[in-house]
Amino acid sequence: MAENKGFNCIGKSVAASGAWEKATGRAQYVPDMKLPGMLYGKMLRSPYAHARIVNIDTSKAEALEGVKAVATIKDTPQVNFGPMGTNEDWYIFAKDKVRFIGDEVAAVAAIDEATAEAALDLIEVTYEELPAVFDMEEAMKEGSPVINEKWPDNIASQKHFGQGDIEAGFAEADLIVEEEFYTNEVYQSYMETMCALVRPEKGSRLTMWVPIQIANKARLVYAKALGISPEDIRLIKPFMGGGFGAKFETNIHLACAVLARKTGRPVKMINSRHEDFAAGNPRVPIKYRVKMGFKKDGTCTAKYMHLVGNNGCRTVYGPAIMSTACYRIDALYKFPNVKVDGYLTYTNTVPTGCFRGFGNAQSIFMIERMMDIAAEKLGLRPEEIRKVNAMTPNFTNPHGWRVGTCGLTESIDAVLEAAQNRPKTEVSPGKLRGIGMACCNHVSGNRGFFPTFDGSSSLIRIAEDGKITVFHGECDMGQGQDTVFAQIAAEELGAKFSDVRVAEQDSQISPWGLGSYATRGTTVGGNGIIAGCKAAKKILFEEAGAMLGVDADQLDSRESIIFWKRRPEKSLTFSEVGAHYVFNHAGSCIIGNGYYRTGDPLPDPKTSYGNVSPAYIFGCHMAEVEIDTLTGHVDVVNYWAAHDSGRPINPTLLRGQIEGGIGMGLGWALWEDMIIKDGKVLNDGFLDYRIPGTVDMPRMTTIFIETDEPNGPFGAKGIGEAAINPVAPAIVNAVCNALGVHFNELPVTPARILAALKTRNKHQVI
Amino acid sequence: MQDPIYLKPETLDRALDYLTEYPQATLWAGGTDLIVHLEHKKLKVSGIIDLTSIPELRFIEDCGDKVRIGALTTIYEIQTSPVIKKEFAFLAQAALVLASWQIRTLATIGGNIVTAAPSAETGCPLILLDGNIIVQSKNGERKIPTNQFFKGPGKCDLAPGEIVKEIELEKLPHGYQTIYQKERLRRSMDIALANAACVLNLDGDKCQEVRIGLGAVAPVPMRAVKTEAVLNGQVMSDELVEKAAQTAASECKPITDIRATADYRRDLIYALVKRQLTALWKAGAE
Amino acid sequence: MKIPISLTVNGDKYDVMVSPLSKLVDVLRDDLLITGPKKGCAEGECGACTVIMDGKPVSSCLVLAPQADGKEITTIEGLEREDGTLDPIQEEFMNSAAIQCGYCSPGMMIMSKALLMVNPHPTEEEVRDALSGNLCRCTGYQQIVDAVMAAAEKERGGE
Repeated sequence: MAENKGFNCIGKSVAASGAWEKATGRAQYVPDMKLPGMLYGKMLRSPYAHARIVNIDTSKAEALEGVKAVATIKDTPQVNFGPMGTNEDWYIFAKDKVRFIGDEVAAVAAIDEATAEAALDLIEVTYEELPAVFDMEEAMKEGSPVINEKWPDNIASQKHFGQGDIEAGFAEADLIVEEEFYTNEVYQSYMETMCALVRPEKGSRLTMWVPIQIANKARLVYAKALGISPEDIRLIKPFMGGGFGAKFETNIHLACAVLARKTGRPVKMINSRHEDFAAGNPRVPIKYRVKMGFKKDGTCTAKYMHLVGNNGCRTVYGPAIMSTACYRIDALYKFPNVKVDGYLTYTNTVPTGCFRGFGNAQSIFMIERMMDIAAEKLGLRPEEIRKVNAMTPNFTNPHGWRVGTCGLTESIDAVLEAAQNRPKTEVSPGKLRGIGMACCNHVSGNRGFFPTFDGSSSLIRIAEDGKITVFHGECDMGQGQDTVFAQIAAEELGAKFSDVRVAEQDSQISPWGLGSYATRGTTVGGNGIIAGCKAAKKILFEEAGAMLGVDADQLDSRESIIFWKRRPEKSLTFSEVGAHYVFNHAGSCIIGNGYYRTGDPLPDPKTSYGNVSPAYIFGCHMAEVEIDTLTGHVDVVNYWAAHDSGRPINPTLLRGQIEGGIGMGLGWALWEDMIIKDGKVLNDGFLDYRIPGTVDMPRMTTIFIETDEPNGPFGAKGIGEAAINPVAPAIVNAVCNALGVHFNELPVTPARILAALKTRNKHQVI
Repeated sequence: MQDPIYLKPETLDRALDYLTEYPQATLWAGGTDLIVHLEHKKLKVSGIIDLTSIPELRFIEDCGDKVRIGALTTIYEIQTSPVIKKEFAFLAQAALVLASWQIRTLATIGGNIVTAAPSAETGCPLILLDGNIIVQSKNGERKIPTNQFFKGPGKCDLAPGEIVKEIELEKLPHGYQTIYQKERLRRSMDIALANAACVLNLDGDKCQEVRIGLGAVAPVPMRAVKTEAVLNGQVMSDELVEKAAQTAASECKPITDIRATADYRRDLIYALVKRQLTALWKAGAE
Repeated sequence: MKIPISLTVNGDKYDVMVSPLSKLVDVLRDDLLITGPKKGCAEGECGACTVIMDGKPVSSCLVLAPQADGKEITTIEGLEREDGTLDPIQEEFMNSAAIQCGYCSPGMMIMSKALLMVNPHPTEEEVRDALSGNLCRCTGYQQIVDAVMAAAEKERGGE
């Protein structure tokens, strides 16, 4: 355990804020909301992967009793927009043509859901089918159907860069390993599907209730799409049923806004689970060709990667994800010479986007399989090759990333020790056991995501009763961010935890924040909270000092009591000072407004050189599997996860993040796979897209490698995405270890395992 | 929006009257499959005859040499019934792994067989037992042997105007053992990629009588007659079990779909038959 | 034609007009504004809409509204006692951080309640089996299982 440093609130497993509302059924999510006069919206989606829209006749639908409006592209400003400035290739509804099965063609608002659905059947669309392309590599070939006119080669983005001398690196290698890998398309499977409730206000103003991870940035994009000003949109993010990367900008929010404007009434739209599978933002699948050079002791001398990723038919965040996949692992291991060529292509499939791990999860699968393959060839143990290359504290990588604290080696040692101490149980007859490890890194707040913007801010209000409200522009989607923010605020202010509450995210009152992605909440958001608290505390102490006749800098606070350091009995409560301030300032509360920025220049967009994150997080997982030799079924029987997330602010919530990441990664490793044929998602529901259930999960052991990160709030760093990054490779490495066979594609299904077992047995017989 | 007629008879006679009056109406029991078809717009409904309030169709009765099960008995009731557990352990095992608890509370044995899914849990045990599905119409009662009831995916021997009333099953003679197992992608609630059931009577190590049923590998739950022929009258051995498992894998007729390939389903049948025979043989020897 | 039904939810009797094809989950959520039960899939695969009907757990998305006529239904809102104290299951779900986004939690807690009603001494394996039709994407289930075990122990302590 790291030194306690006398914290009051940091390091305590307080119950999550919002837990009572959720435990009692009071928490209101968007699908739970109902407003007076509210209508129900439904989307008409394209049954074709690529087709010209010849005509849309909405008259029959509009004539249906109970239908209040049918909206198409004609009801929108018809401007191109998009989440990424580099690839603005969206319309709210299909314009002239549809680009994937599930594309938004029209939407209906009616007095109830059944009527809205019935009306969809009455919209007559005449399509003229166009040739389509579904394969990410086919799409780049000469003569492939063009999906977006501005990108006639179907290349949405490409990255070519390197550092060091790649040829010299390969020349000095004792071993060259060349392999191919594939990480497949998977669906985030949050329990609440995408949805929106929009109320039209006077003039061009709208109030939108949406579950979204990046409320303020989305407001800019939505304002452009709707042809209004960002302040015309009041965006409220209520309780939210998970996101995991998917809940960024999405057309259902905009379609709902268009219907609300057209009908003049509040409209609620909710994706069915099938729609959500067909038109959500699944993970960017990536094909890798990799060449690496190693010294005999395992030291990597050079790494070349060629990547092709599938962007789908329009751009969510594919280019940023692809860029991440190209080089974030260069902060996991010390690769002296690296070069990469990455391509992201348009295809007539569902647009792909962020999914916990954001490209790094894909590349960590690749590199952690590579490490095991190379170790085997070099006669090294898996931990040996990793430790010899492992990132260490206070190291600047070839891309200018300044790693501060780094508990990677300690994480490797910790899981090894835990695994070695496991109770040895008998292997059941007909089963094979294997054990595997995988390391991970991640950023804790990517700075180049939305260039020109960096950092986070908060507004801290201390009311006349001394109670504190934290306003921030980030996003709790269920991971516990608000709880961590409340703990940070209580600690910084010297307040009782029970006196702190966190305001709902509402653009009318919340500061402008970027939201939840890139594992940035705790580090970047947390620093923003501290900044606001410092500003509030200054006012609070000045007021208290004046009341006590003591200099403000002579004061300290604890448990919502401000006291003179020299004579602690000379004290005032927050409520005494708060009331005094409010009543002597004509009602003005103590308000602290503060912000945090690293001050570093942002990474160069061309060379990608520059420190991308204020802090970096690390971890190592180990999995033990048991494989049924007759069916190929894999049971994960033991699992250990060690993480350096700095100083844990709330250990129970931290453990929950790690365990949740393991669950998600286990599904990805073993079964989860969107089966897409000719652009159609065939397993578009939880019946045939299986995510792990209670019985599939082993008991997991989590270990915290505590570091004290100087750039983190009270030494803390993030966790969210790091928790999933090593899971699939750890499990697949364990499977490979059990079978003596290499699997370089996800998922490793029972059928694939059984096929490999049969081949292996045949070879043994020969 | 035209709402369908909804009828809720409280006796079987009343239900048959309604069915005569509204021959197009859908018979609704637990409805756990039908309501999903509705959601997917694969089912158009002009009327519903809700059978769930007919107490006379919901019972499990031990009648000495046979057991009668009312068609509206829920899967949860089958799973927990002491009579079923004692007389037909494998039927209780099948019920236990059918969908989730919150579905087993609703789903009925009658509904499960009428739905006639090739992967249905209760199919394999039922076709191995001597007994009848008893259906009732205005014209009287008709008894269909359990192994002749299933006709194809979603098809069974039920004529318009008929309602499944009960299942009567002969008890197994003393010393007969049973087992049901399924293979699935994940261990938590999941649909069977393949399932199998086995009834075995041993005299020492000699196989006096075996019955094997295979599910999700043919249009209907199928009796593995060739496999049974391999075993009947033979002395159990590892080699014999191996041969039987291979025979089962080759005599089943699986298809490839998004859940599994035909080949993989054959592999699963091999695994299931091998394990079931070994388990019952070893248990019988003890 | 809509038909009248009458059902008791968390002790309160309601008379509602429903379409014969409407589902219990929609009547609860949309007509009665009892929004604790969530809709995660509408086909019985996720368990988020689980309620207790006449003492037994059911997926309320698989029940036709008219089938709920005359039934007694308990949703998550009904676990809380009249004096505002919570059921041990609710307490332990909060204490064990078994709730992250909270969308699966109402179904998860109701299913746990249904288990403890028939089996007050469950093993961890029995808890996992009982909850195997309830999906959660946030927790990896460990803190949920721990919460149910703790709640069972707490309830036994009160015997």
